[in-house]
This record gives sequence, structure tokens and C-alpha cells, in this order.
Amino acid sequence: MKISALNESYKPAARKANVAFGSANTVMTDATKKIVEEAANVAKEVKLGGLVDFLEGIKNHGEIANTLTTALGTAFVAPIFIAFNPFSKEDKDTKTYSAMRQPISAVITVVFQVLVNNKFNHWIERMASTANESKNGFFKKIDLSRKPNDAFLKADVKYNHPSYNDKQIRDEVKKRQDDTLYKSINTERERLVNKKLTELSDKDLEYFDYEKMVGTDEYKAAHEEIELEVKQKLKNEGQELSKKQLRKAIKAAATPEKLKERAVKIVERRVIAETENKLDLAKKIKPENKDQIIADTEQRKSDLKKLVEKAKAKGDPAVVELKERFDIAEKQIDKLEKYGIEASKKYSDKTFEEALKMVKIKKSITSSVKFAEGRLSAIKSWGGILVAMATLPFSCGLLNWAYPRIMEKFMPEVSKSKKTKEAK
Amino acid sequence: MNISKIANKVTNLPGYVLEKTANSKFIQWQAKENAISPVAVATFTTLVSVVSKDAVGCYYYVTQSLKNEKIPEEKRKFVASLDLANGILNVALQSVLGGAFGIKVGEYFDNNLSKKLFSVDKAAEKVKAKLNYNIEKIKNIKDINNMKPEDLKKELKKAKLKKLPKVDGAVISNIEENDDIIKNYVEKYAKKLLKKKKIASAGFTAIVTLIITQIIAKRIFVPLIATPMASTIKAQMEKREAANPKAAASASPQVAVTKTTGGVKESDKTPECFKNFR
Repeated sequence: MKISALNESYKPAARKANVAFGSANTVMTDATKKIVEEAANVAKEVKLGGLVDFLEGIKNHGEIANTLTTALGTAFVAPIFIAFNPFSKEDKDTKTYSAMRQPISAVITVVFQVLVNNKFNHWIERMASTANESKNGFFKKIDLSRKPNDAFLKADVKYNHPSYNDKQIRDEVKKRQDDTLYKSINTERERLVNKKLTELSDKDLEYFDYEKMVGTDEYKAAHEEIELEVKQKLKNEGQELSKKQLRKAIKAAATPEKLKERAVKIVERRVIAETENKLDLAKKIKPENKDQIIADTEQRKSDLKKLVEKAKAKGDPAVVELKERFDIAEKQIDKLEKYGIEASKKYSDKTFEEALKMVKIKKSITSSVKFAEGRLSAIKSWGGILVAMATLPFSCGLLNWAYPRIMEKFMPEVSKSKKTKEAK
Repeated sequence: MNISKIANKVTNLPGYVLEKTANSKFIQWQAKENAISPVAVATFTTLVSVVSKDAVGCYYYVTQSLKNEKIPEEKRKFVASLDLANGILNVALQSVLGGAFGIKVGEYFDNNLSKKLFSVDKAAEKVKAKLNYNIEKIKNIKDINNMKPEDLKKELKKAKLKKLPKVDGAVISNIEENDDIIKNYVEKYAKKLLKKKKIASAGFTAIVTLIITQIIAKRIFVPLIATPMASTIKAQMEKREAANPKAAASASPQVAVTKTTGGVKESDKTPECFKNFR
């Protein structure tokens, strides 16, 4: 469905006050309001996914997960298979001696590799988060000084406020991240205040440079659009491909040039949609009709959601664009609830062009940050592997030194019989 | 060049290396692929990490065996070839199993597990349960509206609540009626969770791949296959030795059997740490 048609579909619906969600808001009793308020509070508090957090941790700390799993195998599975190997004809003491080596080596490996990996991660996160202080101008590609890394800030907050609990730490980290980000956005807006929108160069809006788009939301959206198009084309032609062939077909269709063209288009589309929304909101909003606007936006959101689901079921490439609209509506509600009408005041006296410039600058900065985050995570995962390898000689030396001594001290009989056997 | 310049260069080195790395095509490619298909990237990095460690371990085994003077010259190649066989088996089995299952595991996660994990309905249930729980708790506190603040604090502590829920007893029945509203709010906060879908899928793939390669392949299959394989190679070597008695005489008997695979018994020729990578 075309967006113009979509607009038509949601506008009249919003006007009808007594449709599903709208009615709930407009005739909301005090009691219902309280329920909603509490539901929002509880939803914030309830942890929605412990397992998800765990899996995210695995993805973000890949090398540490590797080390730990390998160690788990070495410490608990290997000894069993050594001690009860049906093919082995060794005597019991030799088996015990060999089996005991595994847990000891696992502990040493874990200590070395996890420690070094942790240090490496902290170092690189700190370097990225303080890249603006680097005298040599290094770390530009992973510059996160405009939105410092979570882990870096967390460590800092913990150090400066030892009495904080987890929630306080989380809130403080979020606050500092937001403060830094908006400060840099405002600085950038002030710097470019005298330039007109048309005068802004690629250097001013660094994000609109394709290389920096790689890995961002728009890039993903461009890829998704192409993927859906390929699928729909195949469907129209009545072709059925295997998963592997389909992957190949998508890869062939998603050439860098095409991705670039699409991504640029999507960025432009998004900033324009966002600007329109902001101006619209700034025009409409007054303290007394805040609730009504939220209700209208909720209505639009739920309509959009239905359209997204419909398009998704059909495999329609328009789903990408519909999703964008949905996100914008949601952000609007969020902002209204969080900051009230203050957020819209900024835009109330702006022309479309001025507002577009403001949005573009913001987009440029937030997306550059995303780009840097992508690079940082890639460097972290490959650097982790190299760093872990570099610890091998050291953990090796320690194991050679420690293992015979530990065995002699705690299992002298096994160690002795092994020695006498070797001496024979 | 004076000392300060040299010191400057040394301190700049990590930054320089990092900058070069961040600009490299490989990291660019990785960042791009990670955005599109994090599952494939997670499988790939996990496999490269574990397999490369095994490969390095295998290299050390082989070179150490070939250089070890304690092993008679005729036996060295045999011992080294055993090390090599073990290493190759490890690398091959892990790559094949990890590669074959990696993507499939990701697909399984997307089709089955993620529907349960990322269900907004379930999250809404959770929130409703908590809401009910909170309401039930304050229901038992008598005269809550006329209570002194310190007494209220004590009562809340007794009820194990941090703060007073904003809903009062009278609206309990409304929770069911306001299903849609609650769900809507939950959806909003669950969105953060939904964003993690792909990352969680990648994490799940990584951990399953690790279990397959590091625990099943490396610790169960390889030792079981390698031991009979070692015996076969040993038998063949002995056949050759029988045909060539001169070489057999010069070899000391215990060295010939010093090595069986799977960590069952190993000579002290190899550094301990690399035994860890078997």
C-alpha cells in the first residue's frame, strides 16, 4: 500500500473518537488512568527477559564465552572420557594423573584468557569513549565520545558512587549518555547555525556519506527492502528456490550501489517524515490537549500496526516504510510522556527547512555513533581472539610449573607411581 | 632521534594499530555483515576462534614432536603424524559440525524459541501478575489512607514492597477489562526486548555451536575416533618396523607407546598448556 493511501486510512479513523483505543483514552475514568499508570510503572520494572540478557551477553562477550565453554568441556567432560575410555588400556593411576591435569589447565586458561580479554575490552571501550581527548587523533573510526560506551560509564559511576544500587547505576549511565549526546547535538547545531540547509556539505553531515551508513538502521532497512523485493519477484514468477539459492539471489541483488541508493533514499525519507511529525506536533500541542494528541497518536499507531502485520503477511516491501511510520508515532508518544510539551517547543517557531536541518544534524550524529559502535564490536570480537592467543605462552609456562607441584602436594600416591613408572 | 620521540612512538603504537585495524577492509566487512546477518557472523567468529586455537595447538604439538630429542629419530615422524592426525580431526570435525549446525540452530531459534521468549502476550501476563500481586498486598493493609508515613513505610516493608502501588483496592476488577491498555504499555517496554531478537538469536547460535564443537566434537567424538585411529597407525608402523628390523632395534620400546590420543596418556614432550587444546 502506498503511504498516501495509508495517510487517508488513518486520518479519518483518528477523528472518530469512539474507535477502539481512542475511546479508552477519551472516556478514561480516574480508576482506569491509575491502572494504566501503574501498568506502565510495572512494565518498566518487570524484567522481561533474563535468558535474553544472558544470550546478549554471550553475543557481546564472544571470546569470554568461548573460553568459558572450552574450559567447561576441559574441566568436566574430558576427565570423564579419559577415566572411562573403553579403548584405553592404561592403568588407573596414569588415567587419574592424566584426568586431573584437565581441570587444572582449565582453571589456568580461564584465569588468563578471561582476565586479559576483560582488560582488553575495558581498554578499547575507554579509548573509544574518550577518543576526543586523544592527542594524535586516533580512534576516529570508533569515536564514541559523543555517546560513551555503557560498560565504560558503568565502571566510572561505580567508582565514583560506590553506594549506588543497580537501578541507580543504570539510570545514571543512561542520563550521562543522553546528556553527552544532546550536548554534542546542540554544539553541532550551534556550529552550523549560520549555514543554510543547502550549504551543508558532506563534511558537515558526515552521516550522509555512504561509507558511514554501512551497518546502521537505514542500511539494514535497505537490505530488508531488497530482500523482500527479491522474494516477491520470485513469488510472482512462481519460482521456488531453496534457502541457499534464495540467499544467493538476495546477495546478487543487494549490490553495494543498489544498497547505497536505497539507504540514501531511506535516510532522506526518514528525516523528512520525522521533521513533518515534529512540526505537526509543535503546531498542535498545548498543555490542555496533550492527552488528546497522545490518544490520536495511539490510534494511528495501532492502525499502522495492523497495516504492518498485513504487509508482513503478504511479504510486501512497503513493510519497511510502514514500520518507519510506526516507529515515529511511537517515539512521538514516548517523548510527550517523558518530556511533556517542552520537547516540541524547540520546533514551534521553525520553518520546514530549519527544522529539517535540525533533524538532519541530529541524525548525522546519532548515526555516526551507531557506525562507531558497529566497528568497535567487530574489533572487540577479533581482537579478543588474538589477545587470547597471545596469552597461550604464559598460561603454558604457568601450567608446566604448577601442575606437577599441585599433584605432588595433593595426590602424592598417583604422582609417585607415575614417576616410578616413567623411571622404569 | 631522542628518547622522548621514541617513547612517544611506543605509546602511540596501540592507537596506531587500532586505527589501522578499524580502517581495514576486514573490519568493515565484519561490521556490515553483522548488521545484516548477526547469526552467520556469530557462528563464523565462534568457529574461527575455537578452530584457530586448535590449529595453533596442533602446530605446537607437531613441531615439538619433530624437535624432541628424547624421541628416537625414526619414531619422531610417527609421533608427529599422530599429533597431526589428532589436530586435523579436531579442526575438521569442529568446522564441519559447527558449520552444519550453526545456521540451522539460528533458524530453529527464530522459528521456535524466539516466539516464546519474545512474546508480548507473555510479558503482559507477567506484568498483570505483578500488578495483581501488588494490589493484593496493599489490600491487606488496613486504613492505608489515614496511616502515618512512618507506619506506612513499616507496613510496606512487611509486605515486601518498595513503594506504594498507585492503584487502590477499588479498581482491582478493572485489570481484566483494561487488557488492551496494559498490553499496549507492555508492548512499548517490550520493544527494547524485541530489538534484541537478532542479538539473542546470535548469542544462542554461538553458545550451541560452542557446545557442539567444544564439548561434543572435541571431548567426546575426537577422543573416541582418534584412539582406534592411533592404534591403526601404530599397527602399520609396527608392520613397517618388522620389515625393517634395524630401525626397530634402535628405538627404545617405551617411547613407541608414549602417545595415545584424547589425553589418555601423553609423553612430557609437549608443553602442558597445549594439551588443553586437544
